Amino acid sequence: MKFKEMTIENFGVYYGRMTIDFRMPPGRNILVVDGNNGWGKTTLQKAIRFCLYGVLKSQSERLDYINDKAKREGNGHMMVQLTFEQSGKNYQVTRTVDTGGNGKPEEDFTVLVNGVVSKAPSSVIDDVLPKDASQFFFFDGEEIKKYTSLENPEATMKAIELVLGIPAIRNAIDHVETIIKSTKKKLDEEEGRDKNAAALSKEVNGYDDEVDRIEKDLKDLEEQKVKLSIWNDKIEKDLHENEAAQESLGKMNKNKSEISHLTEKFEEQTVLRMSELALLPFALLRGRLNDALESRLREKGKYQSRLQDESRLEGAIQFLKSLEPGESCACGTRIGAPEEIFINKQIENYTKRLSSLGKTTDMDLVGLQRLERAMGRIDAIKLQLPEIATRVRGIQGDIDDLAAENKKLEEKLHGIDEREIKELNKKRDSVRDQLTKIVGSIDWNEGLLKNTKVKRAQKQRELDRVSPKTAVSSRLAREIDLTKDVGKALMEYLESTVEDKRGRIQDETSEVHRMLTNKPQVYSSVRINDDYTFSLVDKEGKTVSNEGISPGEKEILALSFIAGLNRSTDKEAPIVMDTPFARLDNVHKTNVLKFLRNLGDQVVILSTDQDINASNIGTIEPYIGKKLEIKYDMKTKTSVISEVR
Amino acid sequence: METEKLSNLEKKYELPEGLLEKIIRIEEEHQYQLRARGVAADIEELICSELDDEEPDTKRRRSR
Repeated sequence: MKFKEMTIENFGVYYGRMTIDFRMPPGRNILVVDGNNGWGKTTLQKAIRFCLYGVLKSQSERLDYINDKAKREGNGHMMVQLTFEQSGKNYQVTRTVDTGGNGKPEEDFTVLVNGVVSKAPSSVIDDVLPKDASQFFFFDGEEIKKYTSLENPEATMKAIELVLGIPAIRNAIDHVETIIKSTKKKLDEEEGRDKNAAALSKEVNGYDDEVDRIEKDLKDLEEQKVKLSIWNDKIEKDLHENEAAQESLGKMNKNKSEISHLTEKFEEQTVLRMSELALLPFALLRGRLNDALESRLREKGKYQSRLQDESRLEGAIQFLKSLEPGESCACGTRIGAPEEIFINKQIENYTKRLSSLGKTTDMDLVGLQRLERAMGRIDAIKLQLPEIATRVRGIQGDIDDLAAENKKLEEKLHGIDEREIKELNKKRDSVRDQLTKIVGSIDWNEGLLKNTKVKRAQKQRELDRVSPKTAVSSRLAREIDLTKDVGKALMEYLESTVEDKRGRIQDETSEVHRMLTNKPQVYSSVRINDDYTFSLVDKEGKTVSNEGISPGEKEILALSFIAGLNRSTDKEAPIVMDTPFARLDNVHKTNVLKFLRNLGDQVVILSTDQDINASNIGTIEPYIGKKLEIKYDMKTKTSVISEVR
Repeated sequence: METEKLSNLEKKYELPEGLLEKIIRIEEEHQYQLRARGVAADIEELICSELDDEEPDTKRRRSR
């Protein structure tokens, strides 16, 4: 599907008739429609959906969409006409609403294929692009986040299958079952002409139904077995990894305890170092204090010697003075005049010597004692700062080594804890129980199938005896058998197709997401589940919950999914994207802009100047084939769309 | 539609060549008229015509 033109008349804010030409020069596939909020960008997308699918269902909604100015002028006519080509055919789709004389808005819908009016216009459009599938082509950049919801609504799942062409296979299976039932009925009628044969035929059919049911049950059980086995293998693998994780956890705990012990030692050494540092000034002053002390001690010696001299001279003077003339000296000499002269001379000598000693001042012996004690204490200081520094470095190194080892172990564990390991063990036990039960059920059903087939064969032989096969009944039986085989083959085709398509979407979505994400170093791929819900997978292979990612990331994830889906289908339609960058940061915005031209053969972007502007238009400039601008008239409250390039 | 896959299934279930593809083609033509009247009849007619085309001596014993 490739749009050519769209003509709108009195639709929403658009007054009068105007035409948008979607055709662009070769090699350019982006059409940008620029307009402020509320000026009519979303109305254009609504016009496309209205034209193709008649999305304005209620009368009041139809009336609301007829332009107000036109209505005020008494014109109750609104029209959207879309022309496009698909697979070499030209389509012209016209939908109008007219308020007749009774004021009721009547809708008219016409489709021309290669100029010929179609009798089933809705079927034609459904054939080109079904309404449910269109949501993946015409969408709002912000609203697409809904696809990241954890529970996929059934309608979305059906729409996805529609895009992938799955319903045709499902319908074929349903129709084949209908054929089998009706043919069986015909066979019963043919074989049941007599009562006995009718009863036997009924029994044979009963066994046929029973065989079908058991075969279906067996198939389901086998599928469950495969799924459980895969699950079991995965849990076993996780547990195996977790055994190593358990060891790592033990090692981590041991390291933590060692780190705690070493930290205490480190603190002890730190305290010791602080106290040594406090003593350091004394140690540094040791030399000077020692000099001072020695000097004081020398002074003390001199002081004491002088005191002795003083005392000796004073004693001698005092003794000489005590000698009276006529008395005898201690040596027995009688003191006469000569002796007296000698004594006086001696007294004079001694007095001179005493005065030559000078005045003896008191010395601070207490201060000296204090200095001596301090010196004694300083001498006792044995500083070990270098040894402490070596010890501290050693302890710190050990702590760093253990912390680094724990960091590595933590990275290896990806946040797995003991609780998780217990949970895994529980899961494994539960899966093993289920597997055992299923294997038992399979054995039982296989036995039942064998018995039922034997019984059926017996009844068939009885039936053949009482009512030999006619040409018609043989033919009907062959038809049933062939149709049954067709049903089985179609079922197998459906399963394999669904699986293949899901895998394809997963690969395509992952590839697109890698181009769009702002965290390529974190996310590795996108996982698409059986019900087409999807989630991110990180580099470690772990699924990231959609609840845990930002609205912008959800938008990118959903856009990747839509692009992946469109790349996986044969359906081709223009992409009409409204408000593409509502919640995106600059990296996401740039990545989306770079990717736009790959989104489809024809990409229509309905944007504001916040989305695409002078700062980023360069990224898509070479691919812009056309630029349209919406202008809004405040007075008439109507919009006009015109081509600016 | 994956022709090769369908062809392999036709071989596996001993179905007439091209039958599955024809059935799906009918469904695709009526894809958007779910449960459309006449689709089952068209498919049945196709299956019957394939039965008619089977040579008597090459007829497979389909009944269980």
